[in-house]
Amino acid sequence: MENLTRQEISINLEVMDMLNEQIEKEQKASSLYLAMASWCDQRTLVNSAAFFYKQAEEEREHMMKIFKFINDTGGSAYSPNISNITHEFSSLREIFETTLNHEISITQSIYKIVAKCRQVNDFGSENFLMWFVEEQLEEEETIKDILDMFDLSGDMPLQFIDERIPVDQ
Amino acid sequence: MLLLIMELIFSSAYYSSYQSSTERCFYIDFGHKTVKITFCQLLSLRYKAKQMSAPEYIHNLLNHNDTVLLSLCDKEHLILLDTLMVLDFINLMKGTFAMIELNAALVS
Repeated sequence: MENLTRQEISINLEVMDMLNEQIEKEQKASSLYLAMASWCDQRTLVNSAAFFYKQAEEEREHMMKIFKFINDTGGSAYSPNISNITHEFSSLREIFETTLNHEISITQSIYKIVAKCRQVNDFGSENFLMWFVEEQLEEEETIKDILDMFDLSGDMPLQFIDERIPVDQ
Repeated sequence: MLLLIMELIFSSAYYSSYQSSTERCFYIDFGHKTVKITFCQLLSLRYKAKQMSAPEYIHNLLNHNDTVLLSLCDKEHLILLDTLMVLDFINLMKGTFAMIELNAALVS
């Protein structure tokens, strides 16, 4: 039987499913960072709010990048349904710790897809995902630097820490 | 005259899927009607079957709704499925894509 499917879609179907799950994760991250931006904005933590507004935009860009890739390669991308985003945080430090954990889970998720690409010889998708591998390392590094700054600042007022949050990453 | 050859991909208890290489499309035989679909629409059916196979969906189907209205081919067709038919439809999609994958491995 002629391989009609291969003529229609350039990526592996299992990889496509995993990329669709990744779309949901990136969108969830975007929504979570927006909730964090709101928390910071309400407490006049101007730089932190700006940082998370930007993070929310970036995660959405990641989501869109994967979304377009799936459709461009002949697959079907599905718009994610996101709910249960928490808006309750106890401190700015907790927010950044949550962010780091979230970024680590996204990195691990990307690694799993790359591993699947290698398993099924989907080199096109693997090549596409290399950008995300690099991006995730940078994201983790940024958050780790901020958490290091928290440690160095000791009991300094929040305003002092907020002033040192990098707005232009 | 174009000779249409439908090659069987997979048969479940109630339904069958076919590929037509000459027309570059697929067919699903639902028993009372046969529907012509593109690969894109087949992917959409796969997605629906995946959603239907979620435990919460099956639980809801067994305890609250006995039937499901399945729309396909950009709402061109509407098919009523009872619980057994839903389970069989899920089986059809799983089998169809497993056979497509197997065929791809054999062809390459």
